[in-house]
Amino acid sequence: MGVAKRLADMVVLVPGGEFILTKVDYVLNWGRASSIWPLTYGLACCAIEMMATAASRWDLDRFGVMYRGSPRQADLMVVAGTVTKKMAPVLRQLYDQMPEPKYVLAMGGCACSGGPFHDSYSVVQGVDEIVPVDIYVPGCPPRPEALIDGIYRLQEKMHRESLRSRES
Amino acid sequence: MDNQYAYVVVFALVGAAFVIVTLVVAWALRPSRPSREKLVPYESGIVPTGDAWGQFNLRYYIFALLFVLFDVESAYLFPWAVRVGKLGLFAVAEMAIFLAILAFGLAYAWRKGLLRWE
Amino acid sequence: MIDNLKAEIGEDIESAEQVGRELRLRVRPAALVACCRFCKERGYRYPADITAVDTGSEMRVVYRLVSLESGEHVVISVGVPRTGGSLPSVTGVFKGADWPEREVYDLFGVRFIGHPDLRRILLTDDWQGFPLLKTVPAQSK
Repeated sequence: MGVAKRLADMVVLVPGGEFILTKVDYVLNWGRASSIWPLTYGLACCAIEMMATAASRWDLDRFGVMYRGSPRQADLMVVAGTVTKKMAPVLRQLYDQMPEPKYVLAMGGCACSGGPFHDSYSVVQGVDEIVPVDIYVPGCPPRPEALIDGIYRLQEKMHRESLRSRES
Repeated sequence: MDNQYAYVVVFALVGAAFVIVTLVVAWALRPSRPSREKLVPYESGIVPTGDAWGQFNLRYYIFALLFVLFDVESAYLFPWAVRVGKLGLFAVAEMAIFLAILAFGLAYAWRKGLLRWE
Repeated sequence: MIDNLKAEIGEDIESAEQVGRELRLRVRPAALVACCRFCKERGYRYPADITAVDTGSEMRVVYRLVSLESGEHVVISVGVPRTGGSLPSVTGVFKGADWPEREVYDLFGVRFIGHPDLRRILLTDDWQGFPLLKTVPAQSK
């Protein structure tokens, strides 16, 4: 699990250790939340809204969000669009190839729960059947403001993390 | 004499410490969950096909070779340039001959078309 | 044009009618390739779509050919049995019919004889059955 948790457990034993821990947590979480690098994973129509959000009018770059083409360099996977059963193993493999800490944001109705393709023979009913999801952003497609809200809540979630209790 | 080299030592130590401390702190604070799936080579999420060996073009080797040659030449030029004022005409002539030999080699490479990328 | 067509393959045409800018033909499978070639020679060179309809009693495979110069459509529909049906492939006439025919095979189960590479295109390779048949329930509940 890495040295971090053991170090953290040792630090709290020292008087005043918790204070150090919270400060270190704060800096780490601030760093992670201010530089979320998503993996470009636009599958369908939600990808258009994701592109619009990243472009100049709504602009994700001001939040430190910089899209990366390779899973090795990404820490967020925004599943934007319908996941068909044929695409599911590809999605799982890309998720596996991302290094920790990694997060998943399900964008749009299809990624959240199958959306309009409810009970379809070829659509995965929600990407949480394949990967663990941190943030759900409903909509068909969600407006750019909604996606920015989703990223914002993900930042809040990152701020709540601690070295002693790893979530991702 | 001692004073000046002390600066070098301090500089080297600070430089090394800068790198080592950063890497150690990052290693201590980051999560580490290696898994077999993570090591699969990336090919847009599908099972990779074919081997990962590509053949490099010969041009890269030729350019690297020429670069090393002329880089070493300029490395010889630097100490010469520092002292040439005090060494007199003999040193200038000597270096001119050295440069001429290498320039001849450059002209040969040029004529042979080694400097073209296409 | 209908008359020329009738002259070539008259006995295999079941019906022909002009509706708006569409010429709708129903032909028998034996005349399919000849009909397509006939239309292509007369300017309907763009194979816009190949799809199928499960009418309950038979499977009708529908070919839509478009003339890009005039904007007119020819819609050819061919009847085959609902399961195990097969048709000659028109890839010899239209190279662009390759993937649409694979799609019809993938979703409806109609085989195309002479197709260069007939395999599933949209569903995973190990899928059992053909989802768009009327016998397959649209919802699991």
